[in-house]
Amino acid sequence: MARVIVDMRTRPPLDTWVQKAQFRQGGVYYPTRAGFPRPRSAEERSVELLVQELDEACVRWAVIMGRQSAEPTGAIPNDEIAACVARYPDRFLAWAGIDVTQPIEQCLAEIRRCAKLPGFKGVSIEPAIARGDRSFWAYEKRFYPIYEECLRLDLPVNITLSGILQMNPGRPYEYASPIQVYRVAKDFPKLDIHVAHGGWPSVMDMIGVAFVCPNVWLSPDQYFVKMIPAAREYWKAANYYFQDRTLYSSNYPSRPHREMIQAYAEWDWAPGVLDRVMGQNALRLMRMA
Amino acid sequence: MKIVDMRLRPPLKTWVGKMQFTRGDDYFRKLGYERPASTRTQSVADLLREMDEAQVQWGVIMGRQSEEPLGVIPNDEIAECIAQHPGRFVGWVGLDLAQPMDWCLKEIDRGLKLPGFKGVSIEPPISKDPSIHSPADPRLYPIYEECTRRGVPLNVTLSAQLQSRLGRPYEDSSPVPLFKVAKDFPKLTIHVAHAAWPYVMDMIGVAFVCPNVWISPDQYMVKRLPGAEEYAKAVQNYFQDRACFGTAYPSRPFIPLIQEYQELGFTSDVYEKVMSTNALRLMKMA
Repeated sequence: MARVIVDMRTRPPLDTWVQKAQFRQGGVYYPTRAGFPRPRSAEERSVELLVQELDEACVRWAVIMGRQSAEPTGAIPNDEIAACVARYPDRFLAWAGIDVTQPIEQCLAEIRRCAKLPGFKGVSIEPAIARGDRSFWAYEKRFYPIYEECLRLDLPVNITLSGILQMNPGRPYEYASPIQVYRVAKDFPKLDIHVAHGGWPSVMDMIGVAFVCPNVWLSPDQYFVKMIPAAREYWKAANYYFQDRTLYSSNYPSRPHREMIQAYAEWDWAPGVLDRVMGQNALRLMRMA
Repeated sequence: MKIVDMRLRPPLKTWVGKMQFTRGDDYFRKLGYERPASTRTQSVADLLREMDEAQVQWGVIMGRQSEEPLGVIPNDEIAECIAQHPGRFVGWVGLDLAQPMDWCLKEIDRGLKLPGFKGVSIEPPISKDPSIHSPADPRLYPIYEECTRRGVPLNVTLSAQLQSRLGRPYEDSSPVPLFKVAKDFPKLTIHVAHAAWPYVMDMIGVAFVCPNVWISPDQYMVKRLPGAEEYAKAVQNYFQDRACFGTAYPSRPFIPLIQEYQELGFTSDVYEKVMSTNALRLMKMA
């Protein structure tokens, strides 16, 4: 059976997204800084071209991780994401972005609304770079109704954590710590928690939390390439005790698809593990397998 | 070479009722080890046979008086095992930190008079008094003073896995508070069991700047585990005199773990120190 590739983090050039940092040229996102070519579809801001690139890279599904956070990463309307999924129903999936600074009833209503939209498979929050003027911890009790609702609807929740994410809106670095996930995972042992960006560079903290919390899943995204410090530790964890909970993502447009898939394949994988990382785990997480 | 295993829990009457013996299986499967036969027979004779096969001369029974499911192992039970098998086991006195300090100091005095006891062991982040969660808690200082006065080493067990077993805060397994203890008691020898994994770099950093801090990374210093090669680099290059081998039996079998220590790339002199002579020096048995 051919390998199924699921990309857990692709931002298509939607109307709102092309105005954000990921698509602005010459900024810190520019992938050539890390030795990758800039995807042509990102230059031309063409979703059609992106779909063509996904085809060329043999990516079966690309997940549009919703985001309602502080500028410059910003807020992408879930309806804009839904329209893209509706236009390409066999190509894109989505997780609903939730603005955690809204009243909790509104957050829950948006989760319930989006859960009914075709192709929506999860919920995404980013308390560390919340809109407004401050950061929050994922374990703050104010967010517990969100976790309860996800459990009720059997949806996984994504929490994006990385030091670089803090830098963009100028928020405190320490809010990127993956240790905050430990308490959520212990209080909601049946909730699947996916950490995008893999908490980089707090790699050992992330690995440790995932080691002791079997409901924590991990996408190290663009940090899971050999040139990145500590990436090797992600690989050891993925290859050893974490084979069923490590997922692939390109983080497009910050990285191109084909080259990122190649970079993941360059690690020395134990038999069968790469297939799990590239797609099988993602399908299981999203209840599609 | 007489191998010293710095962390070995024999199948004592109380220990076989604890999670190391009752629930260890998931852990083994996850990491790809066979459980030693003696953990099923729960026979000390079988255990001694396995130690012989692996050329492990000494098993260090690190006392433990902590919260369930890890629990309290009476020091007298440990003493009995040592007495029954002379030349094979040594003990460290476990302290229940929820007891009044008077009790702790008396138990140190009593325990160290028992044959074969070489040190004192505490586990502040998983103690029976959850208000004591840091080894730098000033309430613990009389214990440090007593160990310093007597010239016996102190063990502090730290690992996130322990925190998780009890649902205690993850961050309490950080080794950074030990910096303060080590600086406040520069003559106290502090041994860190489990080497605070996964706080590998913090542990290495504290040991780098505190010459009185020793580590036993136990089951976490195997090449395939994240962070393990950093421990090994540190041991080979700058604290080869302060690192010891430990299996955490029954959580790991002897021979496979010894083989994995052999794969860490130590020079032969450093390997001998880690497997044997450092521990003997630490416990003044050399």
